[in-house]
Amino acid sequence: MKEEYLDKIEALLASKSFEQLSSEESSFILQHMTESEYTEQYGLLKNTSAYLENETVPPTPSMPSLAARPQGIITKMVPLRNALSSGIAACLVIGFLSWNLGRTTHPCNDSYQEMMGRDSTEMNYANLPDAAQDTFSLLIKSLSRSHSAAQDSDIIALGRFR
Amino acid sequence: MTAIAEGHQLAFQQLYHRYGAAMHRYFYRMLRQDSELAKDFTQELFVKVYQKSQSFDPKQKCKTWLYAVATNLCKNEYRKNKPIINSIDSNPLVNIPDLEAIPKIKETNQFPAALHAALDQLDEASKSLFVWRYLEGLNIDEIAQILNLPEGTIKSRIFRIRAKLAKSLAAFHPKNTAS
Repeated sequence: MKEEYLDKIEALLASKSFEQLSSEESSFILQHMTESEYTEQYGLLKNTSAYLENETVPPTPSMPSLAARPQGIITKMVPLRNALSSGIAACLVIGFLSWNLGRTTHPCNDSYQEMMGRDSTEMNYANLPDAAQDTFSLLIKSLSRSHSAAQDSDIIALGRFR
Repeated sequence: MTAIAEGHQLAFQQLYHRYGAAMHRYFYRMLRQDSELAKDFTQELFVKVYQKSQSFDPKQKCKTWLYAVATNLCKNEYRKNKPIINSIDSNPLVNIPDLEAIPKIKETNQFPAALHAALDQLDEASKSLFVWRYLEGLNIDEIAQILNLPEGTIKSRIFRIRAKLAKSLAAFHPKNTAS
């Protein structure tokens, strides 16, 4: 059906019952629908508008409380006080770490040299308690034994290949 | 909407005062006249609008955008709770079940209850069209904007929906009720 026909039908349905239509209008309507169809549709619109006049809708709810809009980490606003305190804290942490790291790794450092040998390759375990010294010396001995055994087995293996 | 997108609370308040009642009424009509559900949906809609206000296209009318977002919320609810769909568009020959199936409504002659029962038999799209046009009073061009469809398509769909509903609700015509 053409758009203008649809417009005209709707306009007539909204305003006039079939009996109120002029002869020209009723002949136009009868080209597109029966009298009973027109009457039914007119009744529907009439009843609907009557219903709207008497409709009771529950009261509108109160305005929702708004949560903060989700923001990207780059565009997020940070209060100045928070930014300053975080910056100072970060500086303190970095300063402490760099100071502590320099103290433990510097070759002239006394405590470091007490723990390690003077040439930094030999472990000085003279200051350890007796039991610990025994365990430590046993461990060193067993390691050196297994190392020499491994060397022997390598030699044997090499000998086989020869 | 631009002001809301910039985070102005006052603009949001104005939007709510202007459209809050209309949107609540729309949800009430669309969601089986469940006032609690309508209340929750209204609040959810405006929270969504506030959060997604950047996605608003300034070329579009604020009213039609709100209806479009509201309809999407209703669609989700329909998907959850609507097992039977009687689509006007997919099958124009399909009839809305006769109101003989709802004898209580016919006996008490309550047109609003009968209208909502008949609307509930429709699919969400057809129901929305009728509600927008005849209950919310939207113009054809506004509906076309919400659905992003030509006005002619909207008019012919409305014509078919109106004819189907009128047939189902013929018992409520003044002539029939008087006899």
